[in-house]
Amino acid sequence: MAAAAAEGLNDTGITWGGHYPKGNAADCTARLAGADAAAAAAFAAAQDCAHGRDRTRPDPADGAAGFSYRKIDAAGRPLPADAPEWACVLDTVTGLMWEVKQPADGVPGNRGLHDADDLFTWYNPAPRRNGGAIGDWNADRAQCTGYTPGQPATYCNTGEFVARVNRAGLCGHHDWRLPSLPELASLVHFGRTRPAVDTAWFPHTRNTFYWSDSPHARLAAVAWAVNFEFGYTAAVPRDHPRPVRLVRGGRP
Amino acid sequence: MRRRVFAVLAALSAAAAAEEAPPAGVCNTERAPATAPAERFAPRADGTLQDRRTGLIWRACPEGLRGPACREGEPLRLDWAAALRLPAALAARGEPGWRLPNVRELASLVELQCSRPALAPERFAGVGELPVWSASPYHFYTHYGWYVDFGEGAQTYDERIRAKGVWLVREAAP
Repeated sequence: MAAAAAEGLNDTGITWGGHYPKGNAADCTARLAGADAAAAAAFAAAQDCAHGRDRTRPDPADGAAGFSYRKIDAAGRPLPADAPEWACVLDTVTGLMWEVKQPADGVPGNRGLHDADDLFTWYNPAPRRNGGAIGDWNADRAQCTGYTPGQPATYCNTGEFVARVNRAGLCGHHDWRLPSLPELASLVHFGRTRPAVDTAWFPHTRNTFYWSDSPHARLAAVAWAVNFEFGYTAAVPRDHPRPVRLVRGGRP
Repeated sequence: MRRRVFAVLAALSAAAAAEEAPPAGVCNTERAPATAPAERFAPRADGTLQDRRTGLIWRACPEGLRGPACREGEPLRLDWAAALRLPAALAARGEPGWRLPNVRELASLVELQCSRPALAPERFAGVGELPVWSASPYHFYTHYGWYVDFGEGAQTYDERIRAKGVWLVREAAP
């Protein structure tokens, strides 16, 4: 009887137990204050590490723990896991394909369209998807590749960036978009911090918030983001410049 | 009316918008995409809900809540260790198979189109702003664990000694 893996959901990457009230184990065991060995074993067996793909499919060759990634080249062809260069990553659990960023050197705008240093404000003119406000157009700040004053198509906001990537194409596709919050959060490796992602597949990930396309239900001045330093989510001001990682595919 | 509320909201600053917030359980259906709408959760004969997308089977409400849209009862609040031990107590009472969800499974319930709770109100309005423990310990601060704030929908962390809600899950039968 195969444990039915939650369809489309990644596991967390947590392969170790948490003690109570404090401390973490190196493996899937746990200590429970005041409890005997049997109770401590049951305590560990109830935790994240005892369940899911991280336990049933822990193949490290295709991503840490239960993660299962495939490298894709700039033309859209699959690559072996040890390929030194790749442009996109396919997550075989969620079915989502992800943009991979090029090396960060602390300077935005000098490594091409997928520069890991490039920053964008949140901007979405679609009234049914933007929470009731378009966000920040960001006409003035030179924080991304190609920015030219007075040319809106070059501005450093999320909406124009998506349009630029789709004009240029990436990994053979022109249907890239800003991920929803749950899509973006599917990349979080909860067993890692600074950054909380598998950097063997997503190098140059920055220790900060990345934009999702999910507006906040009540507050039109903020939008949802994933903090890839620690893995938590929060709604942050739309006029703050943040990195992005585009996605395509998945379910409609 | 809902449309008007949000048109007004859009014109206000964030601070003012917070003061003009619509009542609990109201969703910004005209202006924000759904992430976990009510139709995803199929009622089962035994009173549980199956998420059509993930296949996971959920207790209809966090422990302690019951009734239509979880509007009756008071939520049970436990520290992280007690929350993790609750499924064994249920099994001893003849309800086996339940477990605490990991943080990603728990966050899959979040409907970001809604707030207070960030859940489909037709099913879960009574959950209110309950924070709920996951089975996932936190890596960086080792006295913390992951929980989901169902008020706004964030996945975040807090001290393991804090009391929070419990919402149990199990795999679909093969």
